[in-house]
Amino acid sequence: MRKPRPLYVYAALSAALFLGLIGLPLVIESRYLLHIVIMTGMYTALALSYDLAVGHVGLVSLAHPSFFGVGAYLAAILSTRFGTPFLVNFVLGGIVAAGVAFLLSFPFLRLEAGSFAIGTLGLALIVKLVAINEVWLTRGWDCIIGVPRPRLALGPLLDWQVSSLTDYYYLMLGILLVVVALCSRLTTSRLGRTLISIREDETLAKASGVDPRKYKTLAFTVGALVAGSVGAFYVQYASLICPSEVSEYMTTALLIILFLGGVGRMRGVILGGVIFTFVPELLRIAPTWRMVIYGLLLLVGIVFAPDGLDGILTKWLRRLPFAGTGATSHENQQG
Amino acid sequence: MDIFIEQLLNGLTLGAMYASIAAGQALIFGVARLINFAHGDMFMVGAYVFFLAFSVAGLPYPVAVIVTVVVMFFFGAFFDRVIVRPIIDKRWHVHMIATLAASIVLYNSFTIIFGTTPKEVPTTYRKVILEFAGFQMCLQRVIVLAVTLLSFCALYLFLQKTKTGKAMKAMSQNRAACAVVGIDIRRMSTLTFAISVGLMGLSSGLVAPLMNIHPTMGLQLTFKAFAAVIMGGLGQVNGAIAGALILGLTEALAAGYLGADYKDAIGFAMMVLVLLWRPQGLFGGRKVGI
Repeated sequence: MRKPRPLYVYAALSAALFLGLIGLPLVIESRYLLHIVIMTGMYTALALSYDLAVGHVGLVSLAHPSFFGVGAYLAAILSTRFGTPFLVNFVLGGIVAAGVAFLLSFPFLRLEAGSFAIGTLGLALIVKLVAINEVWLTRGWDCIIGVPRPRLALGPLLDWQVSSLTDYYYLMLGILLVVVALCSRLTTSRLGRTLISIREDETLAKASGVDPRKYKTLAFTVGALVAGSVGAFYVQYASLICPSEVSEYMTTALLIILFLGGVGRMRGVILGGVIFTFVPELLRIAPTWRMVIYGLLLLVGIVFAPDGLDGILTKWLRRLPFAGTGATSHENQQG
Repeated sequence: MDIFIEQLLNGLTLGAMYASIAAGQALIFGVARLINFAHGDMFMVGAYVFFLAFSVAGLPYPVAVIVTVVVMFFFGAFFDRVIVRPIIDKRWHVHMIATLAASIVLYNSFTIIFGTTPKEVPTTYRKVILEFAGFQMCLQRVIVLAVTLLSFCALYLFLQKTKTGKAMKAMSQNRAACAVVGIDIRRMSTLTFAISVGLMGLSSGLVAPLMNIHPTMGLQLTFKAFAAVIMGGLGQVNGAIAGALILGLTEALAAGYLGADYKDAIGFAMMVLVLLWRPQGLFGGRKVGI
C-alpha cells in the first residue's frame, strides 16, 4: 500500500475548483460559451443520475430522457397554465418522474438485463409519442412556448428573479452541487457498496442477504427523480419544449458520457460530462464534418481507452510525485 | 374484414423488412457475441446504394438489387475488419460505444452527402396491382414477400447443410472449442457480417421502393430489430424472424384500427407483454446457439 494522499491536497484542490466555478462567468465574455457551460452542467447532472442505475447496479436503462421529459413537460404545463413558481415545478417534476419510474420498476425489473434495456427503450418511445400526439396536453409539434423564467421566492429573505445567463449559471451550479452531494452520499456510503455488490455479482449479493430488487428500484427511482427536476430546470431555461428534445439521441449522448468518461466512478462521469458536451461544440471550426469527426474520435477513444478517460487519468495521477491511493478505490470493473 | 386483410398484408411486408434486419442482428449476436448499434444504419446505407444504382445509374431493377447485395456484402466484411476486429475481445460496453460511434459516423456522413430531404425510389412494380380472391396488392409487395421468403430458405439451408454454415452454428455454441478444432474464428466472423449485411442489402433493395429513405432512418430500425431479437430470444435467428413478424403485424393492425399515431408504441407494448409472459423470449432457453 502506498501512502494516502495528504488531506491538504484535497482541500486545496477542492477550494481552487470551487472558486474557479464561482468565478467562471466573470471570465467568460461570450454568451454562447456561457450557454454551452450551462448545458455542460445540465448534462453532467443528468449523467450522474443516470450512473446511479447504470454504473452502480448495472441496470442499463434507455429511458432516462423520458424522465427528463416528464419533468420538463410537467413544469412547462404547470407554469404556463397555472403560473406555479419554479421551486414547485422543480420538486413536482422530480417527484412525478420518480413516481413513474417507481411504478414501472415493478414490471420492468422482472426482465433480465438485455430485455430491460429494450423494454425501457419502448417506454422512451411511448413518452415521445405521447408528447407528439396528445396535442391538448403538450401542443405536439407546435411545442410549448413562453415558459416563464424561474423566480425563487422564499419569504422576505430570498427573492431572486433569474433573468441573465449568469443567473442561470449560478442556478445550474447550485443544482449540480446538490446532485453531486446526493450521488456521492448514495454511492460512497454503505448503501453504495451494497449497490456495487449487486452490479458485481447479483447471486452473491443475494446470498449475503441483500434484496437486489429493492436496491435496483431505489437506484432507478432516485435517478428518475434527479432527471425530472433537471428537466424542470431546462424548460424554464430554454423557455420552450418540443417532442424532439425527449429523443433517443439524448440516450446516445448520455451513454457516451458514461462509458467514455468512466462508468460507476463519479470523477469519470463528471469528466465525461464536461468533455463530451464541449468536444462537439469545439468541432464547430469544421461545421460540415463535425459530427463525423466526433464519431471517429469516439471510435478511436473507445479502442485506446476501453475503461474511459478516468482509467487513463488514474494512470497519469499515479505517476505524480504526491500521488497516493486516493483514486484507486473503485477500480473493480464491470464484467 | 377488408381492413383486416389489407393490414395483414401490410404487416407481412413490414414484418419481412424487420425480419431481414433482425435475422442479421441475431446472426451477428450469435456468432460474434456483439450487439451492433449500427445495424439499422447499414440498412440505410443499403437503401442509398440501391438509390444510386437504380435512380442515378439507371440500372434495371433486378440488376440494381443484385448490385446492392454485392456492395453490402463487402461493406459488411469491411465493417468487421475495420471496426469490429479491434474491439471484439473487449467487454460489451466497448462494443456498444464503438458501434454507436460507427452509427454516428454513418448517418452524419450520409446527411452531408445526400442531404436531409427524404428520397423516393419508385419502381413500376409499385403501380401494378394484382387482384387475388377479391383483395388487392401491388406487385412490389408480392416481390418483397416472395424474395424475402426465398432468402430465408437459402439462409436456413446454408446454416444446416454447408460446412461453413455448420461452422457458424458451432461458433455460436462454443467459440473456444471451435478454435481448438481449427475453425478460423476471425474469418467466420467476417463472413457472418458479410452475410448479415448482404441479406439486409437485399431487403433494402426490395423495400426501398415502398418508402421514403433518409439518412436518420437507421436508429429507429436498429431499435425495432432489437425488439424483434429480444422478443424471439437473444441470438436465435428463427426467433428473431418470428419476433419481427409479430412486430410488423402488430404495428400494421394497430395502424389500421387505431390510427398511425401510436403504432410504434403498440409494437413495443406488445414486446413488453411477450417479455413479461416469457422473460427469456419466445424461443429462448430451448437450445444453445443460433
